[in-house]
Amino acid sequence: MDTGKHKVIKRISGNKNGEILIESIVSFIIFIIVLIGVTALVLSSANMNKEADISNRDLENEIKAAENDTAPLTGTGTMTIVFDGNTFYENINIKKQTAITYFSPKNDQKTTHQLGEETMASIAQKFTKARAGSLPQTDGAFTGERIDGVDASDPNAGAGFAFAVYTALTTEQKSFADSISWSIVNTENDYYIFFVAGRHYTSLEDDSGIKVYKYDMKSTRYQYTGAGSVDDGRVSSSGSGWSSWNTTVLEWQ
Amino acid sequence: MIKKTIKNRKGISIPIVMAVAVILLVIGAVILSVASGNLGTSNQEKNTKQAYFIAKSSMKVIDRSIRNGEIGGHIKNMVLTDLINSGNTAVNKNWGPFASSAGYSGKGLAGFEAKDMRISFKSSSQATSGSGSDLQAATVTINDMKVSFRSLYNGRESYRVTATYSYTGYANIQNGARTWGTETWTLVNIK
Repeated sequence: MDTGKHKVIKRISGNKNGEILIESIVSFIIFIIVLIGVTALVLSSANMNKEADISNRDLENEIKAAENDTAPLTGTGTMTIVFDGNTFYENINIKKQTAITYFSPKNDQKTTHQLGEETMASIAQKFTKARAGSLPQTDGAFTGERIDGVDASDPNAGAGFAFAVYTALTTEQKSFADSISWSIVNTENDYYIFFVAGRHYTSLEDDSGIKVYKYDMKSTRYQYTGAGSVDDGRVSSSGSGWSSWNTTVLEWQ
Repeated sequence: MIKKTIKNRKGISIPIVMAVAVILLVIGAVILSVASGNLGTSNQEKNTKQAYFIAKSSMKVIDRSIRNGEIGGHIKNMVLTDLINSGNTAVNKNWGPFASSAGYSGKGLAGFEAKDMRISFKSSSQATSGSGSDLQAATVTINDMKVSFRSLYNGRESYRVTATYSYTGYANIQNGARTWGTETWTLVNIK
């Protein structure tokens, strides 16, 4: 029975108008996608140009502020200079407007905490040199049991390595070392700096049951005990009742 | 046949759209490239200026430490100690260059570096009273002291600075304690 369906199929397959429609739709879609892409490119380019323009204008202002030192203070820090085996610590004021950071010497005095830390680190540095035999004004390497800071500033006191360690400190560190009592002692198979914070004992003074700190030169941390003693200005401890290791000394806060 | 193919316009819209798309994309890419270059130049300019201010700031700190601080004190004491250790009444000597270094700590100083730091100087010391371990007074002169380093920001942009100093001073020594007087540090030039 002829239903006429074959005639419809024949007509559709012969009809080319649908191809043009599909082609137009595909072209339109491609065009829209490309247009969106190009618009995004142009917009981001405009944004970049604007950013560069703002950045250039800001930079001019930043440079003026930095040259005239008018940028606001944003914090403080330290510049460390190592020269001739010595470490010099300079406090600085950090300033910044928005982009350019600069700094200048901080004119105020160092805190007790800073000076204490620096002095301990510096004594440890000189002692390492003494053990290696490279500390100026000494003969050979240090192999003894202790170095005592009492009278270290006096070259005629016969202190030897103590005088050499003391002499190698900076002026600030020397005066800090003068304000405390310190000894480098070999205990527990290693050397530690024992010190009494905040008091200097002369070679004529003794004391016992006092607070003595122990500075570990490797970890740069501190322990204290109330069972410390001073004999003729030389610092020792009973070796018991030590606190846990700390990064700071209470008396220097 | 060729005439028929040319006259046949079916399927022509896609190649046309593709051609337009390519042209638009090329134009967009060029604009983006130019804008990106502008921003890059601007950022590089900023980083170069930052390196300059690292150098300038560092030099200010070093200058203070030389004139009124620990570095200057250490250098003049090096010269005096050398005179004492020599046992002579006068010593002329060239020092260094000492390989030195600088570091920064503080908020906002990440990426700051100073490299190739060198310090060298020429000294002339003259005992005016005593000598060797009995030295009681001496004059110290330091000439052509050069401090140079290269500042870096984020390990790339760099700025080199060299400062030249001179010094004259007088030291009194009593029981090992040194007192300095009539002393002047001069910044000869900086470049």
